[in-house]
Amino acid sequence: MTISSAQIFRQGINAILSQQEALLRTQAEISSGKRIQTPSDDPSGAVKILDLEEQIATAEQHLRNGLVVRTDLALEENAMTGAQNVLQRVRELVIQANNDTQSESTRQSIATEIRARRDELLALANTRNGSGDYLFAGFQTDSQPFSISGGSLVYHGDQGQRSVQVGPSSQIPINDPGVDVFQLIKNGNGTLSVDGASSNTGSGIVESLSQSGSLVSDTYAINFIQLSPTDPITYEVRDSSTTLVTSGNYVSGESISFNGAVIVLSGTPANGDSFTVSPAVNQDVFATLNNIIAALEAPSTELADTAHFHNAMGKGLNDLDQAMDNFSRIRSNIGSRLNNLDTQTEVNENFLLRMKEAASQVQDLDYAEAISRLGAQSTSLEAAQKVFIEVQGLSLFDFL
Amino acid sequence: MADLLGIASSGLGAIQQALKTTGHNIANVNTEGYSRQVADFTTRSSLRIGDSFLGRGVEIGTVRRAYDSFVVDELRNRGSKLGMASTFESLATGLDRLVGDSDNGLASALDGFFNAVQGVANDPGSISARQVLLSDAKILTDRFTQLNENMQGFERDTNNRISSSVSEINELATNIAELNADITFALGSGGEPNDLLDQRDALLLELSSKVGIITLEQTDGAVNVFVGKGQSLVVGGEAQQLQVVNNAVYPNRFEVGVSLPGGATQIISQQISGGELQGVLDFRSRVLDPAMSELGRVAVAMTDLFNAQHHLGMDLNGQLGGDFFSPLSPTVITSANNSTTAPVATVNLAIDNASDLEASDYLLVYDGAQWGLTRTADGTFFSDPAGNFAVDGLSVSVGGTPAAGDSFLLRPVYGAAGQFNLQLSAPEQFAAAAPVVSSQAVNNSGSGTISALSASSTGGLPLAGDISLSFNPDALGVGIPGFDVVGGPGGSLAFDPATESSGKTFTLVGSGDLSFTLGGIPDNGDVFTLSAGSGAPGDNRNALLMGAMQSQNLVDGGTATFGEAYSGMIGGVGVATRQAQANLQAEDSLMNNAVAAREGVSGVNLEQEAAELVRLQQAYQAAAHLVAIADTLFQTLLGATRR
Repeated sequence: MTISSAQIFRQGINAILSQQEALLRTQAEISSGKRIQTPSDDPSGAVKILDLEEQIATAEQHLRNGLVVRTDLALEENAMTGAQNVLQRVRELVIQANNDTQSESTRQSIATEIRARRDELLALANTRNGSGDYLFAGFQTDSQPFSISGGSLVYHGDQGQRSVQVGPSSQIPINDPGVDVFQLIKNGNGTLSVDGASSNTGSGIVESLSQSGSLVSDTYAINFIQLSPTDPITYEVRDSSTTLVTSGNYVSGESISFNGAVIVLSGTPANGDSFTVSPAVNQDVFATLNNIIAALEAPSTELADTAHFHNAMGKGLNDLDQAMDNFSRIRSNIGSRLNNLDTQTEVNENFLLRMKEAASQVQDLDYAEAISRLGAQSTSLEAAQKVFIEVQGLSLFDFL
Repeated sequence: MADLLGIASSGLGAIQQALKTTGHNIANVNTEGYSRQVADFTTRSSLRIGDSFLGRGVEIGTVRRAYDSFVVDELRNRGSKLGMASTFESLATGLDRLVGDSDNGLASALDGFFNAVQGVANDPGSISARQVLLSDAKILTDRFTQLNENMQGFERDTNNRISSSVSEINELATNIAELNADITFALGSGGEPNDLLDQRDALLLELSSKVGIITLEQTDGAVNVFVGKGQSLVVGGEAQQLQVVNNAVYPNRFEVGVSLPGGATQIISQQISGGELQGVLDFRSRVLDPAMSELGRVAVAMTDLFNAQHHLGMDLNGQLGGDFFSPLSPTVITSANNSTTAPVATVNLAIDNASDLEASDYLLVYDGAQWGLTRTADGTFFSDPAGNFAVDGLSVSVGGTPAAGDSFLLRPVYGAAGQFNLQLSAPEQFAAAAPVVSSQAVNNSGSGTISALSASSTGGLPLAGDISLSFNPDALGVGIPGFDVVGGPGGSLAFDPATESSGKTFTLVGSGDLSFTLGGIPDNGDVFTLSAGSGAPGDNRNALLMGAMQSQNLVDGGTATFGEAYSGMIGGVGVATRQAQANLQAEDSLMNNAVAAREGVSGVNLEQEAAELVRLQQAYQAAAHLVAIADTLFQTLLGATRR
């Protein structure tokens, strides 16, 4: 077949042009460091990169969210540690005050200190975070959650708990509503609570209260009867519908058991004295402190006053223990949330690393390969140029 | 003697002509479409003297083109394919660059937007976090509209290309018709008009790169040219004109048509095969339309679904959430050809479920008995006599009295990205909070809990009053425990603490379709209350739900996230472009082969011509010698007779 002169020229120039194109393409890859310049270079790779970038952006946001969680939980933990310290100090003071060697004036000064501690606790309950939001107000972060009105505590927050997204399917709560922390605390031993009637005149003191077997939940009155001083002291237990549950002779330090409740009294109750055993109810920690303060400041002149005082202190200690248990529960919740956050952060970081590696594998240029390709391509371009000049230089006309 | 001189001069003349032909070849070595010409020597008719025939020399019979109609046909054929492939490729590559350019990319804007939603969830009371969200949302919608506008630029470009191709085709057709007339005339007066034929071939090749053509050579030398399915473009010396017409239903969309006798215009876009025209039309229907529809679908799904969740929240002012993005309404376009006899047919189109939308237009056509609905992306057909359709998350209904042939274009998603916009103006109007809060009474003595409260409908929201749930061991009859509901729908909810303390989920129909989980062991009389939220600054529950939408499969019938739907569009453009590039490469090399084949037959090779020159030069020298010899003979004769 004849090859026309124009064809020889065209072929030569086409070879040079296509070599140049490949060279430019390699140059663009090397200067951008990316294997994929436009989606058509590798459509599935381009899609994968977009998806990976979304994953990366999301994981980075989750890590940032984790910092918010850490900050707020650390703040709450600080507040709870402070609150626990307050209660611990109050507990020591109550034990100190419960000693018979205390005089009325020392009890008074103890009461003064507990009052100060109570105000400290109130301040802790109204803690704000860095952006001025109240920690313990539930969702109502802009209103002070606790105030004292008419001597009792008022909660202005709600029961909302805010969570933050720290993983694709993992949210961590970053607050506890104040009502859960400071208010929803069962009194007594958490199940039952016992009160001596204020009209009691004997020296009967509650030593302990516990449950055994299945408890029949009701309010029970333990009434002491001693018709004449020579008679043995007897007791009777009546339920809320005044039906007799049990009765017997009273022996100081021995337990009285009925319907699953076990109570130990000591001292000498007088005729007509009574104690009420009722299911525990929620009592806020400020009320507990106020009760203790009131008992410390009550006059103590008669024998019965001492019994009242000891009973109040004993009950106060129980209530304090419940509050401290609740604070510990909140703190351990915070701890487990922080643990959870640590785990999730590690998961996020690993995930992020893997996604970045995957994106890099899809997207990034293999420089070694590209540079050697560049070398090969420039050699071919040079060769094509040389051949072009050689071939074009050949002509029969040169010999005519 | 005179004979010998005659023979010699015939040789000189013929060889001179042949030399001219060779010179013509050399001069045209770089002329596009030139066919090498060959001067054929023929022996002059001989003279009979007695029994002998005496030769009388040589003459040039014809000067013909080195030509093979088969390779020329193949060249045109390849030219059509290459024209199509290169136009398609250049448009697709442009779109590919556009969507691939990360500065134009939506993906990062989408990530930024959802990150900002989470930012608000982290600090729902913060106005600055909300401000960031609004500005990121604006960036997102701007990217959508920008991208949509750029894609519309491609749509305009296709229109421009169609009209410029059509006018080029018309000019070429006119020129070819004129050449036809010249050629017919030249052939009629004898001889091959080689250069005119070459010119016509060159024009036909150029025409074939614009549009696929079929050529038929007539006995008088004219070539008739047809396009599409036999619509004539050139017949003899007459050229027919193609026209650019507006699509009757699609707005701003050019089609190619031909005039029919009687003045009507027939649209032949569908029948065109090959050439730049088909490349443009194919790009529009196979790459641009799907990409724009997909982009629109993401915009519609974002708008509808994000708004729906936003409506289920409460803003900082304690109001239920309004529209976050401006609502997008689907477009219905009435064909310009529809009957105008009142009452004219009208169509109602609504989006029922944005998750089920397909990235496609729909054509709704009445055939006189049935309404037919065609999903244009894949041709899926639905029919209904009354014209009521509920397909792909759309509901369609018709009104008025249709006439047979009435048609409507339904565009639920196409172009919607251009209208995607932020509606919310004030940061405090972002509904980060949930509309309902739950609480337990402080004096509850049991361990009952309420959790996972969420609303799923705006009906009954905000709550008119508190709904209280109080535990009653005999709520549903003696010994059947549950919660007495006061407020809302009322009634009782069965809940047995003995078996269901790990949690049981309830839904209160009518009151925001609230769902919540009750658990633990409540005591008799323990109360839980559901009350209207106040848009508390610390409540981020709705923001969390909106943030979670980023990773939920909410598009394409619940198979793709917003980001995946977008990256799918990118992938679609990428795949189409890659195919186009591969196709162009293949067509390029096929074209090179066809050109090489034609050049092999018709091309000028300078070496060959140089050799030809040498050959002719020698022959010329010989013929010139012959003249000298004839002269010598004559002189000899003269000398002999002078004495």
